[in-house]
Amino acid sequence: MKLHFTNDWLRQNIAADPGEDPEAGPAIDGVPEVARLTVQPTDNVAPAESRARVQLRIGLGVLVRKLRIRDGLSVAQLAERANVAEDELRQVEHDPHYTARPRLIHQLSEYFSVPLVMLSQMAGATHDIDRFLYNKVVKYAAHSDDVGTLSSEERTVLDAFVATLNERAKA
Amino acid sequence: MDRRQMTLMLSDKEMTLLDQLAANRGMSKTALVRQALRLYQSVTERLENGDKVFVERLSTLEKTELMVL
Amino acid sequence: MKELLDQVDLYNRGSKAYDKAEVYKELDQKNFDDFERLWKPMLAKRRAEVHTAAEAADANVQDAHWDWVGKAKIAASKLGQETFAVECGETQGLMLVDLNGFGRLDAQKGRELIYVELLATAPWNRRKFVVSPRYKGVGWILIATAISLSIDSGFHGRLGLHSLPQSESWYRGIAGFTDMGLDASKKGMHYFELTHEVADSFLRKKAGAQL
Repeated sequence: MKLHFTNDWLRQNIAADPGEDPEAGPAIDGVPEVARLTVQPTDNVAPAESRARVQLRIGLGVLVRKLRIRDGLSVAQLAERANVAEDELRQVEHDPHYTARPRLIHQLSEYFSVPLVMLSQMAGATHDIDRFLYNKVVKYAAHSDDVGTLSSEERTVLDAFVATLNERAKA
Repeated sequence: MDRRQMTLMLSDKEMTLLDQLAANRGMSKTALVRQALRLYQSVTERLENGDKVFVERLSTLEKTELMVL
Repeated sequence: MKELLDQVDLYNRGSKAYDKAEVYKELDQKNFDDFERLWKPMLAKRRAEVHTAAEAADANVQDAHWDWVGKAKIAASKLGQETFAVECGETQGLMLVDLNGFGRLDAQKGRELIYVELLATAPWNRRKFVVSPRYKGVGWILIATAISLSIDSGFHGRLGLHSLPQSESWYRGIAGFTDMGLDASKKGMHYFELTHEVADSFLRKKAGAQL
């Protein structure tokens, strides 16, 4: 049997691949994966630009920005550490009409340890909208100041919101 | 990989079929014979294990047992 | 018998340089030992950290897939299955494929393809397990190897596989597989197929190009 690829091909493509290596088949690690969400990935389907989705994305932008500020990172630094594109990250933080790619959501979920299923909802990547989550997100976003630092009160509010997301993900 | 050679005598009918199958499946005759061997092992092993192998007709969902042995 | 296919370049994230790795067809005791002694303890540790009572129900299902050694030994006796390993010192990646697969995609319905049953990278190469993954490229090497086997078997590069959510965007966006959607029989996984034409393009792909 012969391998039909060269090392040059391999090097070029590995270097250009921003993400993790793929795997196939069931998880051999037994670490549970997030349950499959109800519909198509955002690459193929543009979710309806309903007011609800825009609100959720505003909330997502606020959350990501606040978590980043909490960790003392610039957009560039977060992009590097979470292994995502900087311009995509900026758009998520500021543009509620921007459709974040599944990979970005996944990377942010992993980096900040926030449940993927919750972030995906906030990104507007799912068909159904969790009413409970929606109310919590809108309330959280409304109470956040748009400043570059995090007051201790804001910090408390952020922690409580993340705790809510974790609880909701288990429901 | 170690390779061994075999000369295969086939009837006209068998050879014609081999040519046709290979052409239809887009494979060389050798690749096709290897594939046939794999499938044969797969089916017969199941039968030897006591499993049954069925063919299902899509239009009627009628199942017929595939008799190999 | 274990066969060295070739030496390949594997990206070492730490040194930011390429190390020489080997791709083997068929596994041997070294791979089984590496899996038991090196991979499994890390997998078990992480699993223990993450599991909740509710997830325990799933545990037995997942356990079945840990039996790499058992599966690989069975594969050795079957013509219809092949195993592969990427080694760079230790075993960096493992793959089990089935040669008796047939296409479901309209473009290749009923056509022979290689079905990738399992493709796994060592836990120390994955962000899910370590803060600083060691090597990058194991998945690329193994998928390209599966395509090579498909070509050599007369299947023109056609592949089929099921993917977990975190790998989907790689198969769709980077390698150009067709996402055939959720497969009800495979818990939460989408089924993907690679056509002959896209396999060709993939192996001739210039860095960063979209397929």
